Amino acid sequence: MTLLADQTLRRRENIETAELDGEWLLLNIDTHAITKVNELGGYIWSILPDYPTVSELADKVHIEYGVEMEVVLGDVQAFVEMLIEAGLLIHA
Amino acid sequence: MMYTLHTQVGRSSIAFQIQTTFLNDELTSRFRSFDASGNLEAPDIQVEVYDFYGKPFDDGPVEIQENGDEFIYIRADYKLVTTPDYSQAKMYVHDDLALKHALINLYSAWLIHRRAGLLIHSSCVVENERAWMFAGPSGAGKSTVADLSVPRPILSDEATLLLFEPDGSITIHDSPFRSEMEEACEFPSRPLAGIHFLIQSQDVRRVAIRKGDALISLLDKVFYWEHNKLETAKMIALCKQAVDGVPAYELYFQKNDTFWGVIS
Repeated sequence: MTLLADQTLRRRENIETAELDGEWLLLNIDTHAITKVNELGGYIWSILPDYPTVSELADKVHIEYGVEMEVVLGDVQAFVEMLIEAGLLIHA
Repeated sequence: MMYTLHTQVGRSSIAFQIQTTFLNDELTSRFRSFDASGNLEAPDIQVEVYDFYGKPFDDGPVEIQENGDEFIYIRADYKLVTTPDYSQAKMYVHDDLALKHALINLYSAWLIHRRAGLLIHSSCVVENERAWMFAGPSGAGKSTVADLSVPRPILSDEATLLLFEPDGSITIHDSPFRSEMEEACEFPSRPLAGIHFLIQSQDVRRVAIRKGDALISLLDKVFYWEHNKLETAKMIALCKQAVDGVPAYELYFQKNDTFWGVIS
């Protein structure tokens, strides 16, 4: 299923985060799964409550990092799908 | 109760009420006794210890129940009933092993609840005034490392007592929870210099690892019985604080003392 760019997303509860040396660990307390993401991934995770759709996230990353919108949109989409698959994000 | 014992572990005071001579002998050999008559403050932890419980340890798990305002931990060889802040507890034990594990269970939970520190499945050795920790899965060589490090002072051979000091530094305190090297360390505490994760190997070398990987490796070395998401979150935060504070390494080692050559 393709994730729509304006579908609202929510972080799952009971996920602890730890930022260390530019890496982010997302620790699911319920399943004990640990997901490691890079700095940009951690940034997206941290702003998700305020920018809860792929298009809003991509806009924000585009502004903050100055990367072309087309590239950003594809990457954010892929990253968000990975977070959903890892059980870290759900559709609100 | 027949006996009373006042002791100090790390920075915390513990008062034991003890039912039998056997348990009193075990506790007095493990903990240094303090005269508490001049101390007007209540102890941090009060424990009543009872004998004749259950059967020998059968490798089974610890089961945890929340019963109103009590937490109950049950293993084949012990039962621990504690207030939710872990400051008052009753433990019912089968033998000396059960007593040690029930105490580790209680004290570790108390440390995490107070965000004071961690008990970590590892050994810890002093070299040049600083403490080096050696952690790994069962059989990886934690106690072997301690054994091979003599005459260096040994702060722990099984359960390392790591405390966060008020100034933010990390110190390792002499652990009363020992498996073989029961002798108390000549130092009450030493600053933590680094954490090694042991890997048995044909060669001897040390590789620095990223803090994120150190956190992942450290999480399952903490003595912690999960029962409450808030306490789990605190435990994770304390592990993060520990790996943030000191370097971590993978230590590939053979069972001989040449590994100190790559550390110091």
